[in-house]
This record gives sequence, structure tokens and C-alpha cells, in this order.
Amino acid sequence: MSAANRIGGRRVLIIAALAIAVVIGYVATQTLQSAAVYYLTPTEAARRGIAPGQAARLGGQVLAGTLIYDPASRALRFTIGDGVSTVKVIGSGAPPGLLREGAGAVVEGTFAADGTFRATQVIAKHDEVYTAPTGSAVPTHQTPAP
Amino acid sequence: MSWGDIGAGALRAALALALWGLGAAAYAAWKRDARALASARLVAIGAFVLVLIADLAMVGALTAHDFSLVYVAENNALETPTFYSAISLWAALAGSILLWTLILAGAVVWVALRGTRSLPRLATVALAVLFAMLAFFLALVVTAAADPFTRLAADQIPADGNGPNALLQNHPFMALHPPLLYLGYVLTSVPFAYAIAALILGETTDRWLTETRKAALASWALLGVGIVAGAWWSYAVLGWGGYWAWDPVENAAIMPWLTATAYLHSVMVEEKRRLLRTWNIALVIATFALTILGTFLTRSGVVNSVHSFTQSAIGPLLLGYFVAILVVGVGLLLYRMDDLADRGSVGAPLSREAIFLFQNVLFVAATLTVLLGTIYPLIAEALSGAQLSIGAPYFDRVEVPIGLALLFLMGIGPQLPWHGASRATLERQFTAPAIAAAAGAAVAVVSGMAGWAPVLTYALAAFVTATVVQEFVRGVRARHTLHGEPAPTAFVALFRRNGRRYGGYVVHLGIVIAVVAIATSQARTTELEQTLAPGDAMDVAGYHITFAGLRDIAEPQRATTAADLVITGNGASLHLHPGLVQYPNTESAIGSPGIAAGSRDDLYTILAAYDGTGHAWATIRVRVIPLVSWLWAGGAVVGFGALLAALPPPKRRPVAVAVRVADAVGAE
Repeated sequence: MSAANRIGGRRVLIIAALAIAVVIGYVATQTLQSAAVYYLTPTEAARRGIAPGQAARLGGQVLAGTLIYDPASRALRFTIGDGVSTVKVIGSGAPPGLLREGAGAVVEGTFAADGTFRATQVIAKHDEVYTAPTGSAVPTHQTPAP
Repeated sequence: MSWGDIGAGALRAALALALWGLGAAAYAAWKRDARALASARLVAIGAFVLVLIADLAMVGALTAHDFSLVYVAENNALETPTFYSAISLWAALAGSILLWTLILAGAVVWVALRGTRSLPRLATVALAVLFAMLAFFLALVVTAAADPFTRLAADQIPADGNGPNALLQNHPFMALHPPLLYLGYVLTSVPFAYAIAALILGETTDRWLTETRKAALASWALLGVGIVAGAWWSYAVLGWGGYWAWDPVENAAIMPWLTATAYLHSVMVEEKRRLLRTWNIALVIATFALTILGTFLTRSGVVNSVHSFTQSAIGPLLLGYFVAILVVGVGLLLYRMDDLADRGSVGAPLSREAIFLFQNVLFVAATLTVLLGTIYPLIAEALSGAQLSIGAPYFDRVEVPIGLALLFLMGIGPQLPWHGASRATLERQFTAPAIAAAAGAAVAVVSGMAGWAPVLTYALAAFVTATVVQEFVRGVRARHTLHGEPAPTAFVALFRRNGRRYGGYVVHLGIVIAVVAIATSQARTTELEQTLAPGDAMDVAGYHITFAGLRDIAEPQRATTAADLVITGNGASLHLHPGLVQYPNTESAIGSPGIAAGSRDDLYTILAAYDGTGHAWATIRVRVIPLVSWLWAGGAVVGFGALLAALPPPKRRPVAVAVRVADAVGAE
């Protein structure tokens, strides 16, 4: 095969490789901006005045006595707080197994006009410190019967 | 003497030997002293045996529940079954580093005994580099940073230990994926050591590269299989019905795999055309550095994720090690840059070397974008104090197009000749694959795939498969014509005569299988969650799922509440028992999904919540995930293909001629 019937040339190659790198770099940095999800505490959310409908991610502690899951309607309600402010969270579906009162939780979703947070996703932030065995092996995630 | 005494003593002696080995190997290389080299070899074996003793001592302490050791008290309990006690060697940081050190000591022995015989001087320098690394890891495990044999004071020894992390004792896969990953990680240090040795000695040949081909291939294959095994573990244990979440620990594993994949291809350009030499060394350095960076990111607690369960003083030490590797590697590379200059250039865009170049650009871009997404939260926090995370949408949006482009190149590259292709070649090589691609797209559309990405994936998967089949058909035909071999004999002979090439095609097929499994399972999973009373049923994607009731299962080390699900429909007739498992050392229960794996789809059931007082109801989440089992199969095929590619080339002369003819017929 002679050089004459080969397709293209070296310059084409270098320009193409550079173009690929530039396009990927551009897309990556642009996507990074939009895919960054800021963690807010209820206090920060209140201070920044997040508008209704805006996506956010709230982190806080599930307050004792607020976690209610109704298995029939699959409605999930709880309140998270950070010691200063609290936010009522309304979700749908069974709570994740690690979600419990007193522990950390992260909820992703939007604020409704009435100030409640409509969660599309509820994530339990289980702390990684494992406590010493207590002898009780009763699951603590159980929720009251409807 | 206790297990702790034996282990701690062995590690300290091993550290002394590693330092001696470092000195002996360096002296042997400098003075070309055979006696120093002989002593370095002996020391390598001695260090390996000592580290092996330390690892076995740790396993002994774990299985004997010796809670006088902090590591055992924290990661073991009297009720832990022996199997999980033994594999708790890698359940936490200090034990993992101990396993890592053992593998590294094994690599040192391999280079000391085998390497120094084929390339004495180069391998001796590489041996010194490896001894230095071994000394670093041994220093970690004899100091407080990661000492697995740290003791508790006599009055603090508990009657029972804390037990392993619940997630790590819930499934036997835990025995598999960490050692595979560690083997993959550690073996990258062999090509790295040789590359550093070549730079130190100013080697202008690429002997180091052929010498370390198998180590590079093995580390790449083990990393890849380890990543898939980890995905499988995540799928079978974590109970969310997924297998990949772009978690930092997953990213840490995939980044060196990406650069290693780039290297395995670009190295062929160096072998065939003597090009890209600086680039190849840079990839070897990057791959090794990324294994350390990943270990730093996931082990220092700097990135918070479900996997970063270990935080210790090891962070700064690993960061220092990473910086040292970069400084030494990049410094030497810059110093030798002129000697390594290519005496030619990649020319035609439609040549195999050009495709390798594009492929390398894409793999490096994939690595850098994954790295960016992984460390961006750290950068943002350092610069503005803002706490944020980069979720899967970023990685999916950036990496999926790159992956598809790579899939396309995987079909193009092997079909193009070196130096450049003519129009006639293109027609001959790509007519059938192009038709297959159209058929693949049609299959995707007809089967109801939504979105451009899955349709394109199917088209490209068919395209690549067709090119591979075409290669095998042509290879078999050529052998049949030349040697009169019947087709099955000729097929086997292809691997025996040219395992690297045809093993590579098998790897490509494994990737295609995995990619189709990923695309299908991501695009077509059906999910339904319902609260059921005993006797109620739900229907998902043709499956009829009856909730028969709940039952409690007590075991010494855990308590499980499981749902009894009766499955019919789609030809199935079986029971699944998704449960929630309570370990005494965790406050909340962890899920244990009930999975019916199948070649068509997996039925994945999760007990999301239940009535703890009267067992009157349970919330069941069901996912029907098509083709996901093929992902694990694809990983196995990749590993098998790598084994074939590692087959030693034939030595007999007539065979070599036959291979060349077959090559010529097959490729051009």
C-alpha cells in the first residue's frame, strides 16, 4: 500500500485529538457546575431563603418523636433539625433501613410554598462509629403499625 | 508467646530485612556486585516469609478471638464465624495494609528471583525500588499509623469484641473482591519499578516494557475482575438493587484501571512502531500513583463515603508517599525526556496507531474527569468552605459518551492496519460490522429501549462483536487453508499461536457483554414498592409475588427478620427471603436482599419496612433488573481473555511462520 491512498494526515490527527480533549474538558466543567449539590443545614436554608421549587439537599438530625411512616399510603414524615432551625420533611415510600430518630439524614428534593420540604430521596447518614455490643439484638428500624 | 508477639516481631524483622535488601540491591546495581545481589535475593525471600508469618499471626489472632489486640477487639467477636474471622484480615485499615504488604513482598521475591535472571542490571535497580516501597509499607505497620498488632492494656481487654463491620460479614463475596483489588493495585508497582529503573539507568530500549508485560496485564486483569466482583458485592449486599454509585472508593479503583487499559494498548504502538515511549512511562507512573492516591482518598477519611470507614493517622503518610512517587517519577521522566524522544510520528488518522492514540486520549480524559468529580468536593470545601457533593449525574453525563466513543474505537482499531488504511481495506473490514450495527440498533428500538444511549450501545456492541467474529472466522479459515486443520482445531490453535491477539479479542467480547448488561439494566429496570398484609400479592413485570408472612431467625452473631415471598410467573416457581439483619454492633438493621438471578432478568426483592409488633404488614420493594447477571459474566470473560493473552508465545520455528501468515491474512 502506498502513502498516496492513505486517508488523512498528521495535522488532522493532532487537531482531532486536541478537539476531543477540549470538548470533554468543556462538558466536564459545565456539568460539574450543574451537578454539584450543595449540602445545606436547615439554618443555612432559612438564611439563604431558598425559593419554593428550587432543588436542594438538606442535612440534619431526625428529631425524636417525629418519624412517622404510614405503610398503607406509604407516606413518610419526619422533621430534621440542626439545633437551631427545623424543617418538616414529607416523602413517599418506606424509610431506608438505616433511618432512625436521633440519627443523621440527608434529604434531596424541593421546598414547597408552605415551608415543608418535599423529599424525592431520603438517605440515612449512619455514623461509622460502632458502639459496643449491648446484648440486645432487636431491630430498631421498626415503625408502628398503622 | 502470643499471636501479637509473633506478628509484631516478624514485621520488625521484615523491616530490617527490607532496608538491608534496599541497600544490597542498590549496591549490587551500582558496583555490579554478584554477592550483594545474592544477598538481596535471600533477603527478599526472608522478608516475604516474615510478612507471611505476620499475616498468618493476624489470621490466627482473629480466629482465636484474641481481644488483647486492638484490631481483633474492634473487628471480631466471639460469635463471628471462623470464615468471617479469617477474612477480617482485610476488614479494616491496619489488616488491609498487612495484606497489601504481603502481596508487595511477593512481588519483590518475583523480581529478585526471576527478574534479575533475565535482565540483571535493570531488574536489580527495580528490585531496590521495590525494596524501598516494601520498607515504606513495613514502616507503616510497625508504627502507630497502621499497626495491626497494637495491644490493649491488660485491664482494658474486653470479654467480647465489637465484631466486623456488619456490611462486611454479611456475604461471602467479602472474601473475594478486596484481595483481587489489592493484588491488582500492588502488581502495578512492578511495571512502575522497572520504569523507574529504566529512567535511572537511562535505558533507551524498551526491554523493561516487554519484561513487565505480564505484570501489567495481570494487575490490569485483577483490578478489572476485582472491580466487577466489588460491583457484585455491592449488588448482593447493600440492598439497593444497583451495583455502581460513583462512590469515591469505586472511583479509586477504576482510575488506575483506566490508565492501565490505555497503557496496555499504547504499549503496542511502542513495540510495533517505537513511538509514544515517554507517554508509556507516564502512563505507568500515573497508574501506580493513582493506586496510592485512591488508597489515600479512601483510607484517610478525607472523602466521606460509606466505604471510608477507616480514619487514622495514615493519611499524611500516604499523601507524602504519593507526592514522593510523583516527584521522583515525573522528575526522572523530565530528566530523560530527550533520550526518549520518538524518531517518527503517528501519521494517518485511519491507522491502528492513530486509533490507539485517540483511545489513549479518551481513557486519560475519562480518568481525569473521574478524578475531578471525586476531588472537586475537597477543592470546593478548601476554597470556599462550601459542603457539596458531585452526584452520579455528573459521572453519567461525562463518562457515558466517553465510554461509547471507546466502544466505537474498540471496533475500529483492531480492524485497521498499522501505518494507514486504503478505501478497499475499509470496505473489506467494515461492511459486515456496519450491517451488524444497524441490526443492533434495530433490536434495541424494537425491544423498546428509550433514549439515544442504550440504542447506540446496542449498535456499537453489535459492531464490535461482528468485527471480533470476523477476525476469528478469517483466522480459522486461514489456518484451514494453510494447514488443513478442521475448524475447532484451528480455533484453539489461534489462541495457542497468538494468545495475545486472540485473547485480546476475548477481552473485547467480555467488555461488550458487560456494556450490554449495564445499558439494559440501567434503561429497563422496573421497580414497584407496596405494603402487603400476609396473603396479599403484587405483580411486577410478569412476576406474581405473594407475601406469605414474616419470620424471625436467630443466629449467634445476628438476628434476622425475613419476609417469605412466593414467586410465580415468567416460568418461575420459587421462594425469596429478603430480610433485615441486626448485628449487635450496629444500631440499625441492614438489608439483606432476596435475589433470584436469571439469564433474562434478576428478581431483586427488598424488605423495606415491617410491622415489628404483630408482623401484620411488610413493605416490599421489588426490582426486576434485566440482564444484570451478564455483567458478572462479562467480567469473568474479561479475566479469561486476559489469561489467554498471557499464554507464552510458541517457540518452535514453523509455528512462528504460521502465525505471521495468519496475521497477514487476518489483518491485511
